[in-house]
Amino acid sequence: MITVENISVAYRQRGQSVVALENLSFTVADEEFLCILGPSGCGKSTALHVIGGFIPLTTGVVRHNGQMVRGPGKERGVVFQQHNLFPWKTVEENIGFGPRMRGETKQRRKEIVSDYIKIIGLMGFERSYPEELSVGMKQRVALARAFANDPEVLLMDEPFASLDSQTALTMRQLLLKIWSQRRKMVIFVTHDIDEAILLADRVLVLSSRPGKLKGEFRIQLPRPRTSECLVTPHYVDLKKTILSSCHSEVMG
Amino acid sequence: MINESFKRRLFWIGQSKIVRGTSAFVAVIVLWEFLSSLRLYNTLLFPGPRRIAMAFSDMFVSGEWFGDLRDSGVRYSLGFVLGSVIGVGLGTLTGRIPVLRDTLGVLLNYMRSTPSVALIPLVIVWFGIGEEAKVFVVAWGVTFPVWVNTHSGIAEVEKEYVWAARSLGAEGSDLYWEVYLPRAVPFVIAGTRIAIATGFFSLAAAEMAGAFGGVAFRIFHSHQMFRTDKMMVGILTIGALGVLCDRLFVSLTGWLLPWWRGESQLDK
Repeated sequence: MITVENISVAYRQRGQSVVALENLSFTVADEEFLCILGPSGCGKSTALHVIGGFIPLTTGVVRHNGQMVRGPGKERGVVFQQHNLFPWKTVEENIGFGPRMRGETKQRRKEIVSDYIKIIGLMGFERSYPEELSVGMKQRVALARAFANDPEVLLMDEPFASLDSQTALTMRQLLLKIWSQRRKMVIFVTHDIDEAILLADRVLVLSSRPGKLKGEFRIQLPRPRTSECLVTPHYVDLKKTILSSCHSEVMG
Repeated sequence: MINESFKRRLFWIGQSKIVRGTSAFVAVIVLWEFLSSLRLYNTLLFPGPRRIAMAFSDMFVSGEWFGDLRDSGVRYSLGFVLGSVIGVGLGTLTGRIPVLRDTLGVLLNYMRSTPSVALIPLVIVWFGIGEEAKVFVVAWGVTFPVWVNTHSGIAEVEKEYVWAARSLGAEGSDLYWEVYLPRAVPFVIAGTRIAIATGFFSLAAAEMAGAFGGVAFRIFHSHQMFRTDKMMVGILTIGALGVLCDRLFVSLTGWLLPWWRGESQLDK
């Protein structure tokens, strides 16, 4: 379980103090898929970076299974929007990086890598460098790399935002497929309402700067979910409610 | 009348990079030989290609040319390796550790502005005109371009790479060997390529200031003997060496950087 208790993040920019997050609190259960939804610049990525232990908090505390998060650790894997894969490593070296760091044998690493290569459907690209792959393929590898290290939590920072909508659609299905087989806690940051509803068990809506919690929605659409969910009446109702919550933002 | 296929062959020969690249050399040599054979000027001061070729063949046969090449090669290689290692080491320190960037970095920037040539008289006082002096001067010329570039490479590593690596369990020295250093390699290579040239510059100056052999020493020595033909052999040799090292290095980069697709830092 992850508990976020009253966190605030402020930093200085051109001599001015900017508050990115203010008094944010929430908890995420094991195996839960949580989406943090908000407009760009609302501090949702900052929240994710804080949970990852990448940037320091101004106030508050983040706990992972009761332990205070003080820095990045292998319990919490990440997928970013860009600069994800190490460009100097091949696809198989990228996926095998986590297992290598925790000292797995070469044989075991090979098994893990070929396992994930199959899941993400990149057979034949094991020896390719990231720059030789399309954006979508890169993100597949990034997913595989994060899962291959078997973290307890997966932190995803708009991982599909730079993909075309068709590719993003397939990627979401791939993510749900892997997640349904290897359940973990996922905290997924996005600005796309459809994406949030399709993926999440629960959606948190953040207001724009400074980021504060504005609403919380449980998504009870049955799984496995496909893009067809997006046209069911239940979905439309949910989207309306969440939209109005986002809109009060723009108006207010 | 010239037939079609011959014309086409001529066209493709004209497209060849090697043909195009050597054509300027050939043209200059032919023109040069022609002008010097007219004896419009004192060819003792500026000998033609034929005289230079003859001097070269004498030096080649006597072994003098090879001896000089070996002397210069050993000095240059030692200085180059030493300077590169120091440059990468310093760049790692100042690029990675803010305190060192603000202290050592400033000092190095000052030292960098001192041309290696300016140090030669002092270096001779320290080491005499032995090999150490030359290696030192070459290393000086090589260290700073490598340092500056390694520094920027290490300092500009994208934070996402470091975060991702730490989230995958990399810590301490793993981060350096797996992330910082490989990410900085394109920069290191760009710096090293500049250093190839600055190293040659330093080598030439150091050998002229006093030596017993070496390509640049030969230029200076032939000057005292008033052997302009041998001077020209030396000048052409050192130029060829520079080009050769640079080409060799560029072809090496493909092997060092199989992943690199950028162009800005590595124009070929």
